[in-house]
Amino acid sequence: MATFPPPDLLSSGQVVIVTDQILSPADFLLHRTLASHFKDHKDARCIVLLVSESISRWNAIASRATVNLAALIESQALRFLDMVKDIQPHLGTDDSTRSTLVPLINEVRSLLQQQGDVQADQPTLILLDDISTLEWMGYATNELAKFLRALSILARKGNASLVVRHHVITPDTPDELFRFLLQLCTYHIDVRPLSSGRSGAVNGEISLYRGPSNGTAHVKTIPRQHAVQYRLTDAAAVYFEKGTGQAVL
Amino acid sequence: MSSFKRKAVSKQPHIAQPGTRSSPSSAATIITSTGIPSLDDILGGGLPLSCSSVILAPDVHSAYAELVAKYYIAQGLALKQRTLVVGDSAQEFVSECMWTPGASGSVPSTSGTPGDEEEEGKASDHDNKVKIAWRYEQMKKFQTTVDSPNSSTEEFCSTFDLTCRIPEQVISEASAAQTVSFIPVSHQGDASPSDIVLNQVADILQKDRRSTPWATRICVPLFGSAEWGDIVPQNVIWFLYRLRRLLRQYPHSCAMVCPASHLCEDQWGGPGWIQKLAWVSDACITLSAFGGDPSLSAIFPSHHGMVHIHAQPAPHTLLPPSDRFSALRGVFASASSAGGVGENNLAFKCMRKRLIFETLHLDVEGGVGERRTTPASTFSPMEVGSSNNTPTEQLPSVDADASRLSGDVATVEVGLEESMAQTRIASHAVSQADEIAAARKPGKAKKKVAFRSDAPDLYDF
Repeated sequence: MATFPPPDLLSSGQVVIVTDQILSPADFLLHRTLASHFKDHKDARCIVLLVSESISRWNAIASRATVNLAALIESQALRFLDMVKDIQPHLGTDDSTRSTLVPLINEVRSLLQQQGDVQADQPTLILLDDISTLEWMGYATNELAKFLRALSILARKGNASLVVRHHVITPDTPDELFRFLLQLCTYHIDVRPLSSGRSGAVNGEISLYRGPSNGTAHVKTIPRQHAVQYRLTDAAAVYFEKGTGQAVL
Repeated sequence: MSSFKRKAVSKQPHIAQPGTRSSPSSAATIITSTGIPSLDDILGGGLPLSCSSVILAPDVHSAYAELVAKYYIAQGLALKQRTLVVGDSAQEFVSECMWTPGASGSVPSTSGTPGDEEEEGKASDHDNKVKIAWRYEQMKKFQTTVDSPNSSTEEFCSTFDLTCRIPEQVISEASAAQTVSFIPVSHQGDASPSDIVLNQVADILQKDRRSTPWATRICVPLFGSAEWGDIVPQNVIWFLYRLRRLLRQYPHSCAMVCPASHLCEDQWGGPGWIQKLAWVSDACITLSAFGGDPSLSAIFPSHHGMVHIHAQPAPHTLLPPSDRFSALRGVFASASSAGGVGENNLAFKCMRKRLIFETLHLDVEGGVGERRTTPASTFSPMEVGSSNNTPTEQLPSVDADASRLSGDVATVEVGLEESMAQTRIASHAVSQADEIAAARKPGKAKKKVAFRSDAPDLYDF
């Protein structure tokens, strides 16, 4: 049985983009990343920027993976930051005083600085669970681009890894935000549905690409032809190579 | 890997509220009925509390999404859950809802002809008398939809009758007890109508100071219609996003939003619009009626439209309960099975007394009357290049250019009847194949399928 993601993927300073589609949502990857981050490293820290998923869902799925989020929040190892306030971002105007993203960057910066010196066994992870919904509800693309660039610089300075999820709604024509994300990332995980539609045995395929900012490839990439397939269960996903699913073997 | 799988049952005590029960997939998820048993099945048992659903109906000439919304409201009133209806004509909308038959003060409109259910009952009785092969006797009957709830599940899902209208008394009693509230769409000040509506909903939800919160249903039957003012796609996304956040903040409530028909298409919101709607809501279903497409209604005469599922609610699990428990969708992803199967196609039909969602199957013959072995009579295949010039002179110049360009392949004449007849006569002298084609005139003689082989000795039956 194949394992995904590869263990070295989130070593410090990596910027990983996860793209998914409506028929194959990649929330399971985010949950798995969080769970394995805390399980593999004793003094790990994590900041989750919430857009689409609710805290109760994070709690429910983490508890099935035997990760106690309440205790982690208590010990300040895990912080949830709400990205969206109750005011709709105004459309079209480039007024920086109304932007609610700049205070967020400051908050993330202060959180990262609070941790002081980062030891080798104290890796930090920043998870942004949805960037495309922000664009759809009215944030300007260049404002989001500035935010993402600032976030990735903070992550690199603080030796933290950054994982950003983006929803692809037009698979054939990449939109501006997606192109910007691709320039920024060191790894790109692409989760796609099967072209034959929904099935119970295989929920989708995952492939892993190197991003342009990646200097040296530490992790073996997975091209689309050899994509890892997965099937969701209530608590986690089961990964297998193409053609070795339970229906076949 | 051991075959034992201990189910992790969470020991959270679930205080039962009227009309709700635990989801089969997770004890933490509380589900409630939408009023339509087959729609409940598609959602995995019911609509989970703290989830929002969007029902899209792009056909402007029918109102199936509003029908689903009426079922939703009627179910809330029947179960005495708190129901909030948003819209300027919300009161009128609620008064048009359906109700259960036999309730006091409402007499179902009977007529001489038997109802659809009785006809179905008679048909199934007749089927039972048909002799079937012994090996199939143990199989259960082919069902395209789930059964209506029997009396034991009445507390969860009521049986509504479209011929019965909701009694006035029920609405007035509910208004007096504040079980139902109507929220108009107003345009005061600078705030957008969506923000005002959501603030009002939040106020109502916040004021509930009971120990066990009251299960609440929010319904927006015609979101984006004229009373909402000028709406751009970002407003819609913002409304649905904020509504979902509100539902998560007050997890004893659920919502159903039915956008106006023109909002339900990619033409309005740009490419990928439906997917955007599916991402910002928990459940997203399109009821695309056959009204605008006569060919589809001819192919599927017993259905009124197709059902497309874009998103399924999964508030506490990775896998939506619908994938595991929906009998209609037929996607079984349990680890112990031999693997999953593809999903069933779903359609809906509105009968005299109810609206049901069913699996959609092609006819026995797949829609084609008979097997064809020769090309259809509208084609007249030509010899390569030889006779292209003569017949095409009579055709308009555009067609002539096209046929000269495609000289090697069989050309399809899109001309008038006379020119078609002329081409047939012209090509008659050319080849024998054309002769056969000419003999098969638009008269549509019944073709017989015959197996002619080159070596009759070999296949001597």
